[in-house]
Amino acid sequence: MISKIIEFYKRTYGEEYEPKKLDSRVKLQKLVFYYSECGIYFGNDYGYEWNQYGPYSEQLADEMSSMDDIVQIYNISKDECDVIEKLNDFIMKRIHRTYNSRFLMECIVSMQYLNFFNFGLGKKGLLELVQNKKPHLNDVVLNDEVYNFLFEL
Amino acid sequence: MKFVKNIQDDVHGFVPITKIEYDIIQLPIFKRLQDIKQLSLTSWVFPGSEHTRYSHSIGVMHIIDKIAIQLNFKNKDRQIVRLAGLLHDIGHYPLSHVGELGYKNSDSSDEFIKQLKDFVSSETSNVKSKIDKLDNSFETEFFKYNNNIYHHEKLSASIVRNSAEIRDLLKEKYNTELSEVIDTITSMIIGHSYDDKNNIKLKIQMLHSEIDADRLDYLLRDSKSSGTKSGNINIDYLIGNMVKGTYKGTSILCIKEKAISSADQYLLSRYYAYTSVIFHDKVIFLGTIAEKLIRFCSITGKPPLEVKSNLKMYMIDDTNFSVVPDFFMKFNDRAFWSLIDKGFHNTDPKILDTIKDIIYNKDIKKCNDSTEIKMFTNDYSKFIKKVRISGFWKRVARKGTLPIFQDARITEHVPIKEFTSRIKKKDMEKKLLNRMIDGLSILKDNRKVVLLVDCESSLISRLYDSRFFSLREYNI
Repeated sequence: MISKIIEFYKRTYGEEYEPKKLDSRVKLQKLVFYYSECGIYFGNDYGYEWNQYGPYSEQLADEMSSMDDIVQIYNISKDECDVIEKLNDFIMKRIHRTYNSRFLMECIVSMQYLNFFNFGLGKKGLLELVQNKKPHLNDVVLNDEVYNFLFEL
Repeated sequence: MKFVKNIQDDVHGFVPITKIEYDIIQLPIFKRLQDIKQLSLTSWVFPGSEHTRYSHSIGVMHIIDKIAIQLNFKNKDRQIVRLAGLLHDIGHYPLSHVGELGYKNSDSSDEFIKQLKDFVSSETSNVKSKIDKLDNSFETEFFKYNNNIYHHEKLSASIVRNSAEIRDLLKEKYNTELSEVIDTITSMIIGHSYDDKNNIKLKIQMLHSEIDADRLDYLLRDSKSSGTKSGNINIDYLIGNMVKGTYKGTSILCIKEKAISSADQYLLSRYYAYTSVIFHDKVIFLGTIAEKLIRFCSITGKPPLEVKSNLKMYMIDDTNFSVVPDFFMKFNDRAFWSLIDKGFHNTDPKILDTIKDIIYNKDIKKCNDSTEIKMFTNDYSKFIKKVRISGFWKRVARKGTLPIFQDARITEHVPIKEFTSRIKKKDMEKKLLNRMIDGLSILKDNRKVVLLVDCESSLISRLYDSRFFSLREYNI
């Protein structure tokens, strides 16, 4: 299902996946985590743990590092397209502000992860925890927007 | 601890329960588990296997408490781990894991195969590819967070977090400590935490490791009900030899060195339970077929199994539901059978009728030497060679039969030397700790904590790399 991940990457960030670039690899990790939370299945149960840049799956990293140069084409369904559009829209409207797309995704999935393991923190508590764990994600307005994007449907 | 009632359980005898446990058991969302069989379609072959996730959950609560008592837990922590045991399967699917596979591994972009011959051909190619790729790789990922929202553990944890009925009961008891209690239960159900606050990693091991309350209960319960007696272990001796060890500052659930033989017996019993019941030729066939049917319903949104989007809507974080959604109460084994009873519309793919016919009417022929290849070996190439020499694939192609492949290991762990020499060095300390948290650990007489697979006196240390393979073909 690597082709699916690559297609999601391209459509979400509007760019090609470049495995040699750290930025690309981090963004891919966060992308798979985010979409799994949305119910998208990428062919494997990737196990995550909290790492330097937020949730990280070594299994996913290994699979991506062993991918062939030629990746099959994956046809996105209508439902998947809707989910991608929502995230793409959120990112594209904000990438020229404090966070680039990598930090924005780091903020999104870190918030998802920390929220799941910290029940009842509420908005204020969760935003404080994210800043505490990730001091470089210090744009309070943007963090607030990420929270609204994730939890205030 | 104050117990208010006893439940008579056919495996453990009297199981005492506290008030909050009694109140949870009375909730419709918990009673839903009475309609989900633990072993899905196994009772069609082993008629006694009628037990449900309901009795299993009560059994897990009982066993986890025995472990907690053995580890000298205080009453407050005892109650919390008991609740985690009771609630750990609350999000399970109709037909248990058969149903879960049908939902988890499907998405809207999948195309359900409509023709029988295409279905067989697709399965053949999947199985062939799996066997061709067999190698001596081993599990390296332990203590991780699987965030797929359709994973049954994630569903269970989400229900604990989002159901107002459960939360109200927990709040009544724990009040200001509610968040901490829910976090502990969530981590125990998921099998992951990002820190070790309140000794959470030890609690997780009690519900989520190679020797945990969940596995101990299903081993005893499944073997008793199936009549195979393969899980006839002395659980009291095993738990009586449990002890807390320490590995690099983290508490580890261990078995004392003197009970290594019992630990071996436990793992071997689990292996036999898989090879004799779960992998029984007819059970596997029925499960595979039922999974395809559920997968179709999940992809196409066919009532009453069309719940995928509803599940997502209700289980997503911070979506509180004060009343259990009606669709979820009906999301049990009966939904599956009512679908089969009602039959299919004439616009549905023909294959669905075939699947229904197989489940209800098919006289499944027992596999024999001419239709199956079975082997227990640590030389996987031997199995691959035997499959090739047998002309299995040619025969399957000629007859249009359905191949099904299974494999099982006695343990997922390998000795430490092999582990460290074959995995990436990055974060090695963390990987070694996670391995210890997941595996069956032994506290040596010198207080050192090692995995069972690293103990020279353990049978498992000689058998760890062997696997059981079975490749069968079925007429459909």
